[in-house]
Amino acid sequence: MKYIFLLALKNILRYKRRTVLTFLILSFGIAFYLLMFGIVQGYKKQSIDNFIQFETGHIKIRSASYDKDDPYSISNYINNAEEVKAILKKKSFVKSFTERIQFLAEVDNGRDSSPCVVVGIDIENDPKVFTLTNYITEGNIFSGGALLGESLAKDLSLSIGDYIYITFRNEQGVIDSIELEVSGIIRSGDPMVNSSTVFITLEDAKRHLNTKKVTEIAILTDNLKKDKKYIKELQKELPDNQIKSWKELSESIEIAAKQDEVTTYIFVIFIAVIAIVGIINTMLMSIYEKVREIGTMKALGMTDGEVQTIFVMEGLFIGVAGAIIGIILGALLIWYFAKVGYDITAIMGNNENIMAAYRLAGIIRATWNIPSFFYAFIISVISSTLAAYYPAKKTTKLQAAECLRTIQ
Amino acid sequence: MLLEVKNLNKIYHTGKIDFQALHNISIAIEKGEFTAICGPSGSGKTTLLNIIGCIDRADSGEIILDGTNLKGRTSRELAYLRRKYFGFIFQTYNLIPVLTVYENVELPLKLLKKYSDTEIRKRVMEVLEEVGLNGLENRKPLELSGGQQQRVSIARALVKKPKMILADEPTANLDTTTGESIVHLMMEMNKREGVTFIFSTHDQMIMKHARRLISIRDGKIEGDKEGEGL
Repeated sequence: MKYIFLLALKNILRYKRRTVLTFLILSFGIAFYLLMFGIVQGYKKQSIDNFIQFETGHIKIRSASYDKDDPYSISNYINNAEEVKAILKKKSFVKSFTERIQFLAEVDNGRDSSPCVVVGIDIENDPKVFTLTNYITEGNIFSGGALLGESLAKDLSLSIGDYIYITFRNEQGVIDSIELEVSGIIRSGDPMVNSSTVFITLEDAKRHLNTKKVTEIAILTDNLKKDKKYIKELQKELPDNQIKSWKELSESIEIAAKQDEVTTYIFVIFIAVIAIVGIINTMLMSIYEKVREIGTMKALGMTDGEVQTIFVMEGLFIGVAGAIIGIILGALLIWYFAKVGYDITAIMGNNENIMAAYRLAGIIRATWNIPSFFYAFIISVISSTLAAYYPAKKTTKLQAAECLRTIQ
Repeated sequence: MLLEVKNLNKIYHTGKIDFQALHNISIAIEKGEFTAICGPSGSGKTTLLNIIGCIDRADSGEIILDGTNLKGRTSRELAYLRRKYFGFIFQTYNLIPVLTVYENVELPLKLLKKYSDTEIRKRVMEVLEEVGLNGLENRKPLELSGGQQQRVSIARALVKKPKMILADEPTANLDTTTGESIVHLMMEMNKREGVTFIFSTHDQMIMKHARRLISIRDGKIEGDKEGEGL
């Protein structure tokens, strides 16, 4: 086996330029795969983090009538909020919880208006579940005041101290309007928060809606991965409430990320096909150039299988070299995009709808995914070895005498 | 009797044309012979050597090697036979260009898988000295002259001490002096090691060294006589 290994190694080093070109195609394919996978995983993580930190928490409890197709309906009040809170206080896995009210409205600066979601937040407990208040860039939130997303404030040319009118339909369907002072500006990684949300205090929201109820209770647990177990436990005691985990609530992001992964895989398959065709071509050329050598090796007593193994091993070496270079290249690219990141708006333009759907804004960073490096290596080695198998198989059909007769 | 060839026939099918390269060839070779198969180009010398050396198959006839009939052997079995029994010397040397002189010569021993690296090294160096190539073991074939390459080829054939060495026009690509020295080397190995040599040639100067001359023309044996080399 050692001499087969030696022959294969020396053979691929014989035409260095051709070998390098062949495995570079493979390397670029692998590097591209690793980078794309890192980017998709990176934005997926960032999207979900934003979703959890600004909108859902780990678990969200709502009324049973909550309809995800009409998420801001004012009739979605939780009727048993006190019972829910009492149960949550007893659960050891619940680190903290907070109440919110959400409803649709129109924000008006006196000249222009824009649709928005008004979120009433519990100033004391909200920061224990959400990181929203960490992103306040100017001012603050207080009773009688409103915290506006930066983009929304910019669109309506609003700044701290200006007054806005929030117009909404109350539970009875009557149009109501309230005047609020812009008390703070927020800039977060979640474009939904930046472009279409107005935060007011929970007490103000209750007063204006003339209710004592809330529309949701968001929970922070001790382990976001145990969501299923915790939901099961809560659902047992709260059968009349809708209880969802961050996973279910961020399903659309998961689906979008999956679609992007599929697109990545299609690109990768495309590149892999090019690389495999390159390897087959290189191996066929290599075999035709070495017909006399094949004849000599067979004359010396090598079996068809041993000669075939030499060429399969050449493919394996190309795969290993391609994988190593590709992984190094991919790691460098991921390192760059993980450290420096890239501006999502440069890729998606100013399409706020897409960015809002992905819950992404600003600089996005790639993430490291060690299993993808392992898969890239395995895929590279297996595909190049298989690519070499077909041309190598041809050598078994070559008769030693015929090979030796060949004029080269 | 080392080798017995009985009624060998070989036909090449090229397109619609059939060409009979060998007609009912029968010969017997004893151990230690130094035999030349002579004849003009296209007479069937190489085909006969290839069939004897199990690198080609006859359409009919029998080959009995060391008392064993080779009829019906699989290509794998024939590969093992070549590995064990035969050494080959080719007109165009056919050295593996990516391997050094040393690696080319050690290859047949590696294939046998029965010697340690130390034993292989000792034997390779010994045979390289015998053919006058000591000091050149790290060269690549293309860094050697034609005569030196053919010496490597002889060393490669000799290294495993085969029962028979088949040489197909071993001097055809060499100048007269180098060709003579190669034939003398083969004769010396035949005498010293007792290895059976069968070589094809159409060079009169080389033929005179053979102890037996088998003439072949149009695929038929024309004559079989003692040579001047006797």
